[in-house]
Amino acid sequence: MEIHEYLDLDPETAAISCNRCGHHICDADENYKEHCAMETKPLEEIAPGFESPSALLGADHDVEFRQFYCPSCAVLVEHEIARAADPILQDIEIDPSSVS
Amino acid sequence: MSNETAETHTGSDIWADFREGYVPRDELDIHPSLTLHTDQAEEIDPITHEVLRHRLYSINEEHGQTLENVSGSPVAYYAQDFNPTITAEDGEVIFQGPYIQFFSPIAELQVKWILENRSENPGIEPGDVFLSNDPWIGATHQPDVHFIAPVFHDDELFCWVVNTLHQYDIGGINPGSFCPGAEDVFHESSPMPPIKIVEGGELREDLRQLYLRQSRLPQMVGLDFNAQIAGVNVARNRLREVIEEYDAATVKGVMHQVLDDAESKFAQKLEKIPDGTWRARSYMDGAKTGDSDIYVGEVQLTKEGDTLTFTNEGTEANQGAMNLTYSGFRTGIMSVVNPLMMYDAMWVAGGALRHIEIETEPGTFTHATWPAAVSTGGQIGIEFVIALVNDVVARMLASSPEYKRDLISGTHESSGAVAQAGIDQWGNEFGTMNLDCMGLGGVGASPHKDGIDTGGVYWAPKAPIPNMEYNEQDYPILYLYRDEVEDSGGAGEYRGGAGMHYCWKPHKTSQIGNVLAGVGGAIPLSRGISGYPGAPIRPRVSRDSDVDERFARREIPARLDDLDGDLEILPTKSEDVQGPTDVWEVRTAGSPGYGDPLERDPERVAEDVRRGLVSREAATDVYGVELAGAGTDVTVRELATEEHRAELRERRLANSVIPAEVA
Repeated sequence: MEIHEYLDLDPETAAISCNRCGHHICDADENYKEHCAMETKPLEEIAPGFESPSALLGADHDVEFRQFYCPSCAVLVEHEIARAADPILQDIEIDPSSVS
Repeated sequence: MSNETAETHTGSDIWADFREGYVPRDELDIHPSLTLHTDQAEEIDPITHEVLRHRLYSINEEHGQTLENVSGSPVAYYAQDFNPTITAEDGEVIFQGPYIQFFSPIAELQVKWILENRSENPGIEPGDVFLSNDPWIGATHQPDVHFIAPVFHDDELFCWVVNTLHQYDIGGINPGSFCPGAEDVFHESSPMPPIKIVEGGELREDLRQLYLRQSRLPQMVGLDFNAQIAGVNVARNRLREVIEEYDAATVKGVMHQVLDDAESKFAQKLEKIPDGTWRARSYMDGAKTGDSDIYVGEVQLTKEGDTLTFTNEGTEANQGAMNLTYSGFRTGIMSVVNPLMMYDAMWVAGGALRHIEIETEPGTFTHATWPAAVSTGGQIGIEFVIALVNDVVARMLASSPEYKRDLISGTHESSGAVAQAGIDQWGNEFGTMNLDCMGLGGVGASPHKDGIDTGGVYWAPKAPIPNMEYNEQDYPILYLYRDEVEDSGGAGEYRGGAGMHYCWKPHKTSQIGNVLAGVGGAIPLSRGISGYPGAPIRPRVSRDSDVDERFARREIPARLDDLDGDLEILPTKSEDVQGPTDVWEVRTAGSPGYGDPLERDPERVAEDVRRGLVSREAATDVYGVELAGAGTDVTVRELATEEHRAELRERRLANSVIPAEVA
């Protein structure tokens, strides 16, 4: 069953996979982002229109843009902005037994 | 309701409420001298139900129009920064107007607190009106002033009508009463717990003067005062007419059916959503003016059966001026849940709230304890919470094929209101909040459509921005331009809404004091689902510019960068004195996209480029679309686009690591 634009959760196997290519990513109780391909960039490289936050936070800030791709087909599954030391946020944790 | 006797009635623990924020218990402790009207008809024919349902909604709308028409203050008239509410006899929100949504769920807290703590002394009587702006009882910040009026029928309290209207200034260290540099609440306007401003139909002139005396502009606040009294009077009279026409039990029966129907719709939706937990995290940029640190805030949403539980675990301690009280966090939830999940239930907050639990940690900056500074809560804290709640609710809906299409990927990335004060073009004192701040791209993309460019915010569906000419007429400012901002809408298969620039200089005055209270300037708050965030707010000033020389040459600069001046980016919490040749520009935030930008239809990218909403650079680098031609003749190079997108996908993986394999 689809649990996200690019993720399926199989209630039988409790496995999360990419619904574009079928690649198995992880088990349902794991953080899928830890098992995606992660690219890290400074904020000013998100897109034109984004400036470096250094003018406001100082040059020594450690805020970064993390993108998480399917390791197989490279679709952009998710992203997050975080301080470098902050853990990768587990933003989705679904109980497989409640998925029909 | 509890069956307390007069001897055992104590109400809530008011000093705990004043410190940590009022959280109503399931059983309210109301003095037995007050009788609530609970008689309701069980069998109401469907036609009567529909007629009454819409009539009650219309009464609430008329309440809002009364505020707008009577006040004449710019905040009320141009921005419609208010909302009217009808609650049940016990405070449950039945109808809320289509204006600022976060005012209405808060009305419930005010009503319940009054029931618990004013039912004995001074008592709740027909013709009374209470006034309150206490954020530890129910307000996002002190300028949001509630007028709360009981409606009686045959000596029984039938229901309540409430309005909330943002006041331009009711005191504190900064004109406008946003105090981004405040150390604590004693630098701000005073929180007023509910006081009986109208007693049995008689206005308490002593209390009116006490209230207006707090403001730098008592005449303007006085306009709103009259409008707020008029609003509750109109709504109360209309409700009495309806009760007279249909009888009280029928009207009450419809009110409770509306609540029950809303609850039922909400519960049915929850049945189609899997159980789970969704988490959001973002960062507050600066706790107060002059602070360049960042502070983490988090929201978790756990759905289990027919209950949603919101928590704020991991949020840093309240400090500086960035804080929001419990009531703000609570109403931030409903500001998202109502438009995303209750749009087919007339946004009846009370129905959904029966299935929502809130377990926040007191002493955090999204559940601030007294005496934390909270006057920016209605601009900073509430926006922060709404962005995070949107994040978790959108992800929850994304897990349900049934309701996925209802999600909005995010709201605007950041916000900021500029309070302005000084001497106007006629030599008089002036003060206002520049309401262009509402012109942002606050409606993000959905799984099947783009966001809305400069669409405002979904939690304020009727809030417009004033015409530039209105602002120029009323205040000593001259606009250079307003325009939509290229590359401000977050990239995605569906693009987020674009923000706008507004740019002005002082006109026929020597200076303007600008106080900016905002959030998200350094780090976007809102996160799309896969889609990129939109560009955040960017306040800038070009100091000592050559704008007057350009005007003398009959040139109107179209970009701040075109001016010859000292360019400075301002933090979102700033105080500034704008001299006659200082030109301010604010870029309002865009909102996030939905889905992978490499999956966007190339023709739509080309159209965005033709419209000036996406640059050629972004089309190539972010969307992977190769274009030919220029201006309105831009066309897609299809084969080159396919090749370029394949190359970008390869580059993605080449530049990545898999964290679980690295750890």
